[in-house]
Amino acid sequence: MIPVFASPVAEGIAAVMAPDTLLVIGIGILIGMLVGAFPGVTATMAVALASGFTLTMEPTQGLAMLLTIYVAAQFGDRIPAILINTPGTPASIATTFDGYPLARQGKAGLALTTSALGSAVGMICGIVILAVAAVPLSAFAMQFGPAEMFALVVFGLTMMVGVSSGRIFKGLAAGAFGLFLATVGRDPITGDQRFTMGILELNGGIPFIPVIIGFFGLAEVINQILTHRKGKGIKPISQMGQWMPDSKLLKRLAKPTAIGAATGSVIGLVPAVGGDIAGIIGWDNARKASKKNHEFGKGSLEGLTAGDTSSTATLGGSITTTMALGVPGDSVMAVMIGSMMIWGIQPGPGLFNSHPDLIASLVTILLIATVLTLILSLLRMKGVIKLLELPDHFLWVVILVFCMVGTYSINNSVFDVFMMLIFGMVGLFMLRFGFPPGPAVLGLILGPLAESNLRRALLTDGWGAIFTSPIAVVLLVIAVLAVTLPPLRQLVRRRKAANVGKNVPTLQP
Amino acid sequence: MKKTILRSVALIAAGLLAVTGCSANAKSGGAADGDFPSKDVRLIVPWAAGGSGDLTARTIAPLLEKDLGVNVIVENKPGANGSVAYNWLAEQAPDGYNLAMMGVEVATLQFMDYDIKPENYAPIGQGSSGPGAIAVPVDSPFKTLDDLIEAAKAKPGEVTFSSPGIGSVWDSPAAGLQQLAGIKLTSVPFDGSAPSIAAAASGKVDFSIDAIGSQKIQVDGGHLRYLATLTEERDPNNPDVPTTKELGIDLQNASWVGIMAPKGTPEDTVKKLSDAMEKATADAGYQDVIKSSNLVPTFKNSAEMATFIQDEAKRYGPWIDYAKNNTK
Repeated sequence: MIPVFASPVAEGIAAVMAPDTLLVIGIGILIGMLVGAFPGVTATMAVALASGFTLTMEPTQGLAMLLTIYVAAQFGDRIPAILINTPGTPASIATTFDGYPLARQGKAGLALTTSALGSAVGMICGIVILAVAAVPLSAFAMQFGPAEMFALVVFGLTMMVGVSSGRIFKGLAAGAFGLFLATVGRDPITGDQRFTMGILELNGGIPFIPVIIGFFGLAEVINQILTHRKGKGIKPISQMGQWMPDSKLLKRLAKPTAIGAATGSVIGLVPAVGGDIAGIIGWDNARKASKKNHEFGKGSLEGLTAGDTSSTATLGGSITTTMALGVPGDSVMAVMIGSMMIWGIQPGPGLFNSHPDLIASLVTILLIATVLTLILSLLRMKGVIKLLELPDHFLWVVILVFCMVGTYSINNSVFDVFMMLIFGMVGLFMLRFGFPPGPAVLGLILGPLAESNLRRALLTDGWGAIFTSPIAVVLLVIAVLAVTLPPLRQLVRRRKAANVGKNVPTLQP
Repeated sequence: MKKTILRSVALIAAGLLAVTGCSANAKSGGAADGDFPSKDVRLIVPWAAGGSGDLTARTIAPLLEKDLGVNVIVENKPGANGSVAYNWLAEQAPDGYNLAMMGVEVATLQFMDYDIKPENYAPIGQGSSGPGAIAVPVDSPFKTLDDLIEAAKAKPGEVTFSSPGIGSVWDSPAAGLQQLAGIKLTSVPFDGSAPSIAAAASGKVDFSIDAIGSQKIQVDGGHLRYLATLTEERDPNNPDVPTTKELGIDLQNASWVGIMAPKGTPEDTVKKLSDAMEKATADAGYQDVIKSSNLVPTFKNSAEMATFIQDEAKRYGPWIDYAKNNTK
């Protein structure tokens, strides 16, 4: 397969540059962007359905199709998150925190551009990691067993404070509610039923995507309908002025971008943890590091950039663990492994020796897909924004239809639609009474991971399994610091402020 | 997006067709059976898109289409361990136009407090199987299955294994191993095969019990080593690995995938479908796909399947009870 005169790298790149492969990439981009923009339809589903058609293709073309859908969906899903507060896929939950407030302030165009740029930077960081250090990093990923996963999830749970947007007690109450919801279903270890109330579908637990569509999309629409006063209120969401960030803004965004990229790249390597969690953690890390952290959650471009960069940066890490370990880095990659085996490519530790050209092909496909998707995202921005110029009542109907059809299409299940409606009502209650939805969603995602991994760790070695693992201990220490440091720092700052002008000697310079 | 809408439209149309079809059938009784199939057949996959069961369905559907002369529409209806789809199928008209893929859960969910009874279905046939093996981390002190059993005897409950979940097709034979060898192990259930095998590959547990084909990635990558296969004969791809039977533990198990219809489907319809499935599973293209996903193409007809499912229920019942009583 490898000609004598060409290196595997050149061979791999050349395979992608063939016209028919490029055509496949183009089709993949269109599918991916549509899929991403449609709430409820996840990249996993799109890739799974497309894998039926790609089985007969050449491996390079098939990979090009599937990977491109995956990449393009990461850009498409930001659009509904920013414009209508409904994450297109779970990976853009963090996008709603600042993206939607920005759109309400008339900065939808700027938000979309910044988000697309951030996503592209994140993607490229992830790809660079894949190209440069796939094999050594996958050895690190291999260390993530139940104990380490539990510690990581505990760290993730500390984010509840951050996403409470200042309302700590209501935020923690919402978080506890999310954790409670996470206990519904079958016990992960013993298989016993918990809170299933005789409803068959609840055996699988509370479905996560219908809940986020209900919490974010449906609740917001109904709230708008309730608070709408005829003739009153200027149309708040339409584009004003700035489309592209200027150089001053870009400079300010450099730090959150770097934080997001670093956070996402590391989290992407951990098997089974994807862009949803990484987006939230990246957003919160940037908030802690920002000088303007009071803006976060109220329309901060820094927050938007950090979350989006972080959630796309996981992609490189996911592909790395998948290819080098044979362990799916996320649910899309689980589907991809199936397809690759049919093509006779077996992901796993031996892959990089048996197919040295493959990694070059992968990187080339990802780069081309990222650049083309970014260009396309920026080009069609003005058209997308027209959606917001619809009169409110049309927009509401459009969103409601999207929420319903999108939810139904996840599993072809009416039960999911009911769950979406119920949690839309719960979300409305939370919105009206000032309970932030972020912590509840975080509890629902992380609860099952925390519980099952803690119990697995305890089954293998008892508490020793956790406290003898260096990775787990470091993560737990970080988690403790994440909770205790901000209030301490605030205390110091308050004391300093109180001492101003009193001429009290202080240790602080 | 377009595809989803189209699919929904197709679904509604199919639903309407099914309704009108039923009423027509009710009037004419069994007379229409001779013309089967006269309209599109729906094949429900009780698992999410992307797994090996889903793949089997999508590979076999076009081959069934060729033989039956009508479209075979594959649709995923995952949820609650497959029981959402199984319950749905049991309520459909037994006319052969509504089928579902099935796995061993058809026989075993009844032991996990689900209301799924194998008697409610008419099996059509089996399409593939995935025989199992016991594998340990490469640097494990256990060189043979006997080493493992001796260690478990010396320290009851200290040897751990990972499984794809309690009551699953691989947790259950581990209960069989404990009963046959007179040992006590600790089960660490994971959420599916991939993370379960990865946990063994990185040494977080002492061994993995799963399909030979699923463990293969980590064996080829130098992280796992097979101790024994749970097969009647030695696995042709791994002739050096002994079977458990040779080692004095008469334990066999394989995961499998098949197709079934609701109970009461007319016999000649079942036969027609079963024959179509036999031809499809013999197809070279089908065999290639199944083999490259490290499974074994296998066919059993409807009668063989009916006995087989009863046997599976008899085997798994005591295993699942044992596992439930021995999990912390």
